[in-house]
This record gives sequence, structure tokens and C-alpha cells, in this order.
Amino acid sequence: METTALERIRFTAQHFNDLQGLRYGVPLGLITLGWVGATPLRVVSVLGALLLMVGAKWYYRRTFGEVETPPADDPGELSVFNLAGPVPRIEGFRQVSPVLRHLLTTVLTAVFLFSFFQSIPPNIEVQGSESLGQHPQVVRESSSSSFFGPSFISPLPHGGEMRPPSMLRAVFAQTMYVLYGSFFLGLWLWRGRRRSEHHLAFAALLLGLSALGTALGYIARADGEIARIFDLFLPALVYPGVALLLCGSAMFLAGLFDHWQLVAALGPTSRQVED
Amino acid sequence: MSGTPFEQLANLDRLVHDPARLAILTALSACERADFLFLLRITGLTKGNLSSHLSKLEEAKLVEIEKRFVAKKTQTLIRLSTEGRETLESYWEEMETLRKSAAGWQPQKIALVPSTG
Repeated sequence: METTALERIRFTAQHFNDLQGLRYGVPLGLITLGWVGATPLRVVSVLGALLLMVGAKWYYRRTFGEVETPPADDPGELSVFNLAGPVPRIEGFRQVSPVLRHLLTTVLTAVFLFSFFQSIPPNIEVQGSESLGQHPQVVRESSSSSFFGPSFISPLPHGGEMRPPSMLRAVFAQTMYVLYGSFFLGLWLWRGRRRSEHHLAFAALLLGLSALGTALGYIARADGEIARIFDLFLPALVYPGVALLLCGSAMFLAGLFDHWQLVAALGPTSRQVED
Repeated sequence: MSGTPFEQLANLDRLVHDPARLAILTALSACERADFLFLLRITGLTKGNLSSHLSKLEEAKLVEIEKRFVAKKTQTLIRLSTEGRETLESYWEEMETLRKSAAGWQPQKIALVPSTG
């Protein structure tokens, strides 16, 4: 037996539950995509996603079986705080699972860095309406905010001045990129940086957009002129609807890729052991 | 472990070295426990072969098998025992040693002596 076959077996067994894309990635993508529309569409997308989650759980169990991951807390570990041994675990209770711990660490770190870097650039104002399909124009505010001390004291008021509502909407869009991008990055790290290249690609795309959006205060000018290359990306950087569409699509596709990966590893064509 | 790589290879645990059983043990080593269907899908074995390999592994106390009823159907759950985990670890250590010694191994030169008869 080849080492690569054993490696694939080990990977699939270890990540069997989080590879169930129809159960997690696709429904989450649907909810995000539905959020762009009106309230009835949101309700439909949430209900559809819930139905899909339940159906997919049944499908995976019936088709591929079940795998239990190791418990979050190591029951055999002794601690200086508990020399008598581990506290018996309540049936069914699990502490934060390793995958959740990985994701939380990555997302919180990214959010912290994003908040810090968001507070430094000068304010911008976004002109143009997303709902009317207008191309946005970004104007740098000519304020003397930097004279009023450190701007990172509060993320909202910038040097004593409140940020314009249009900028807050842009920040919301960029926050979406940070949340989803760091989620993908966390998943890629959790899977040992292998067999999960689609997550890395989505993480690079979304975090890149968030970084570009954060730098808009430096890129934009007071007369509204902006380099053509940045102008192309502007709708994605400042309109929350476009951000939700991109994030939702990325999550949906990542879920599909995960599902295909699982089917490829456990499907009838994957027979790799000689009887 | 001493001797030539061939002697070391002959001394490997045959129970673990079998490709099907190695696949089962590898899958089980990556999780807490898995059910029969999952092992069937991941190894690509037939039901009969998988049962036979699992019986051998259970006899050797490398795995623990538990049966339970879920929705009026029997579900077989398989777990790698502590002994199984240790055996698998020592198997990989032996394989690593074997790989290293095979990389540095050179066949002994045999002197050809012309016959004087």
C-alpha cells in the first residue's frame, strides 16, 4: 500500500465531519447569499439551509457511516490544579472542540488586527447608491483629525470626528471579508495546510479585499479621483451587498469542494485496498 | 533491530503489515471510533473481508468492537485499543528504521574463487 493512500485514509478519517460540505458550508453560503435579498428571501434561505443541514446529515450517515472525533478535553491528562485526576465528564458534554478553537483563534486575531488598522487611515465618504446599481465614488475627507491624538482609541470616532455612515457601510463590507476570510484560513490551518487549497485561495481573496478596503483612506483623493485598478474593485470594497454575495458564494463553493473531496475519498471509485 | 533490511522486513508484525489491516488501523488511529460502514467505504473492502480482518484484529486485542441498536438496526462501532495504538506506533517506528537502514545498505561483495578441480 502506498503512503499517499494511507495519508488520504488518515486525513479523511480525521476530517470526516468537517468535510461534510452539504451539511455546513453550503447551508451557511445559502444563508449569506439570501441575506442580500428582501425579508421573504432571507426567511426562505434560512429555512432551506436548515432543511439541507438535516437532510445532509441523514445522507452522510446513511451513505458513508459515522466517525467520532476524539473528545475536546484529554481525560487522561493530569494537572497541577487537579492532582487527583481528571474531573469525570458529564455525558454528552464537550468542551470547545479543537476545530472550533482553531477557528476562534484565527477569527479573533484577524478581527483584532482589522480593528486596529481600520482606526488609522483618514475618513472616506462613499458616493453612489448600491440599490440603484451606481458605481461608487470614494472621496477622502479633508480633516485635520491627526492633530487630535491617537486615532485608535475608539474604532468609530476618528480623531474626535464620527465616521460618515457611508464609510461605516464600507467597513461592514470589509468586516464580512475579514470574518469569512479568517474562517477559511482557520480551516486551512486546522486541516494541516494540506488537501484544503480551496480554503487558502478563498482566504487570500477575501482577506486581500479586506486589506485593500482598509487602505482606501490612503488610496482615495479629495477630488474623488482614484487609480483605475482600484476603481474596478470599488463596488466589492464599499458595498455590503456585493461583499455578502462574494462571501456567500465563496462559502457555498467551499462547501461543494469539501463534499466532492469526501465523495472522491469514500466513493466507489476510491477503492485502494486489495482484498 | 539488527540484521540486513531483508531480515528486518521479515521480522515485521505481519498482522499489521497486511495492506487491508494497515488501512483499517490507520483510519481508526485518526479518530475516536468509526462504524463498520465508514471502514467499508474508506478501505473499499467487501463486507466479508472487512469482517474477517476485524475479527483477526479483535482477537489480537488491537481493536475493540461494540454493537448497538440505532433505529432498530444494528450498528457496529470499532475503536482502536490502547494496545492497538501502541502496536501501530511501534510498527511505524520499525518501518522508519527499516527505511533508514535500506537507504544505507550495500550488498556484500562476494569473492569469486576459481575452482581448482
